[in-house]
Amino acid sequence: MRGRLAAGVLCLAALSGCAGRELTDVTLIQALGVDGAGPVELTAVGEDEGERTVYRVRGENVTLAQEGLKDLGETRLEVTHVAQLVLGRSADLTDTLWREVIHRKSGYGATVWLADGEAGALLEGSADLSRRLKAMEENAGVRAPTLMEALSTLTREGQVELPVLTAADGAPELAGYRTVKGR
Amino acid sequence: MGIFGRRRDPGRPHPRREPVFDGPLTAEELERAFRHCADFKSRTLCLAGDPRKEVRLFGVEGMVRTERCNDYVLRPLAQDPALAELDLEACYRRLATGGLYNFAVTPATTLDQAVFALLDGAVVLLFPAIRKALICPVATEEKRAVSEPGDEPAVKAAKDAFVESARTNTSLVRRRLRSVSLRIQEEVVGRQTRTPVEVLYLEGIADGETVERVRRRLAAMDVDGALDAGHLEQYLCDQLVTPFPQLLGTQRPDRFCANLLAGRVGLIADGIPIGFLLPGTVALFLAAEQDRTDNWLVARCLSVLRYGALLLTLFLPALYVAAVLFHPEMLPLPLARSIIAAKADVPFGTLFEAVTLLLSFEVIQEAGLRLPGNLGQTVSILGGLVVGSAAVEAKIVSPAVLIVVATAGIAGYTIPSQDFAGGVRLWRLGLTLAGGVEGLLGVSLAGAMLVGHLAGLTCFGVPYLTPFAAQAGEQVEGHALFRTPFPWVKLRPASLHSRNRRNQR
Repeated sequence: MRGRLAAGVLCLAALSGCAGRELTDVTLIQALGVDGAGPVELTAVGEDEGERTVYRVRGENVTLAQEGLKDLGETRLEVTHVAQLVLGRSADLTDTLWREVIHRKSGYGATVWLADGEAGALLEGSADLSRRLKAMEENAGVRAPTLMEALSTLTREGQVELPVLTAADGAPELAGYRTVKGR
Repeated sequence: MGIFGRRRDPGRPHPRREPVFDGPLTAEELERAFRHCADFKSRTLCLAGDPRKEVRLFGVEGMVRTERCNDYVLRPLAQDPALAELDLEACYRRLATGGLYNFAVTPATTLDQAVFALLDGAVVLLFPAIRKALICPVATEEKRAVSEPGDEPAVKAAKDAFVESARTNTSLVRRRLRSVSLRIQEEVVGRQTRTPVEVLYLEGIADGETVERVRRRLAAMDVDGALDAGHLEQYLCDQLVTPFPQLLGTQRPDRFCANLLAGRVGLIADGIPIGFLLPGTVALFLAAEQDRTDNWLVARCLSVLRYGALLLTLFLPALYVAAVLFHPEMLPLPLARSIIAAKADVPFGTLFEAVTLLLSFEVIQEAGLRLPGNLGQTVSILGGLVVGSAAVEAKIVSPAVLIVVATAGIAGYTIPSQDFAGGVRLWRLGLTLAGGVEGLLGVSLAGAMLVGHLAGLTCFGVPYLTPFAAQAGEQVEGHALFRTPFPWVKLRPASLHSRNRRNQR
């Protein structure tokens, strides 16, 4: 009986397909920019050993584009700690939010922003974007809803108010708020 | 084939010889039984100087207290004028019925009786002409004085602890439980050691069936010796394949008595400075003496804290390894960043680091225990502080793993029973490995196996997880996780099957 139990546990372990990965072999993406409604262009800003790196990838939708992200860097790119999701003018807000929520890995705590133009360009052009947006939320009182809050408001009220960003001298600036309607 | 050579055939067990010394009770037979024993002494005496009234006195030097032998046995033999007027048979009767000053004088009828009495420290007064003998217990009571319970300190509790003498220990219990219901039954265990093991219980309170089972198992223990705690536990308990203890060993007579009052059965073995209590349950091993002596609210908080520390020591390294290797999304970004920064130049994987540190922790602890007090502390300081911080500075281990392992280790020291803590440490290693191989799935599976293992243990019919998973169908009253004030606890634990459940008005 015990032998069978042990064999069962070992089989389960083998079949689960899990393999651990050291955190040092992972680059944590901190901000994601989404442009286009399909195909989608994804811009990811990560920090690898203190160095800011920007990755771009295209995919049929946000989920597939995120899958494609994994193979871009020297180390594995993980979207588990995304703190800001910036959507360009051409992005499909409803589809992106739904896919991000279902995809789950990005975390529900990421705040949602709009770019006054292309999100990719904003992310690429702004140094230290993630920290600046965080500072805007905490110090300047900018109200950016989290992924879950944005989707919940969008579903309940059919529209959601999001902060809009522009790039000025290589730094993001708040250009007001825009109410975006869902599909 | 075994690991190191051919498996041995243990052969058939040889039956216990009863009686061990089968022969007439004579001086020659006694001398034959103790041949080549340098400490075996004998003396020939003539009562009232009459060579026709020759008697022989036998004793084992070192076991006999000479002053007592002189005062209680030799002085009356030399000074009693009545012995001159009586014949040998009458002398024997006189000495057996009050002529000797001993508290107890027993006639010996067999060689076995005489031999084992000598081994217990008695002297045997043999009347060769009439083939009779008297046993006079004059054993030396050289023993360690009753001292403080170093392993179980408590601020507001008694400061005496059990010692190696079973009789002293039973007296420590008697002084607290001045009740005629306190029963002390003796079984002699071990063919060679003949260790007296006392079974203590309160008649009418302890479960009679448990007492009977304990006595039966002790009687069935046909071993060479019972010199240490492991012998008793491993021969008495139901399940052997477990790292968790099933008998609670305590140095404290007050704790021992409190559990006898609760309906448990106690064991005291000669030569072991610990009293054993059974049946053992998880709650018993996690209860400390201060739970009873402190304010109940304080005790309740500390008790909850202790259970929290138990979970921490069991699961913290496993959860850390699982989170870092499999579920980085569980870690907040600043924590993830600091872990990455700390691990940047460390050449080893997280699982290897954690397991190696856990094992190093055990090695340092083991080394500290094996060495004399001050040296042990030095080893702990050297191992823990110097080597630990040097390893971190040399980037051999990351500080995060060191903090996790050290926190888990310190949390483990809150467990009052070191035996139970040993089992927990073994499972902690298993859980960490499971976390490193399968992440949270592995930790969950190993955790479920641990619960299953504990749920499968019973000690003398009482489930090990009592009162958390079984309480004979009753609500828990008294102290388990939450300590309640004594006036509210009116019943003894149902799981102990006490015949008298009520413990107060």
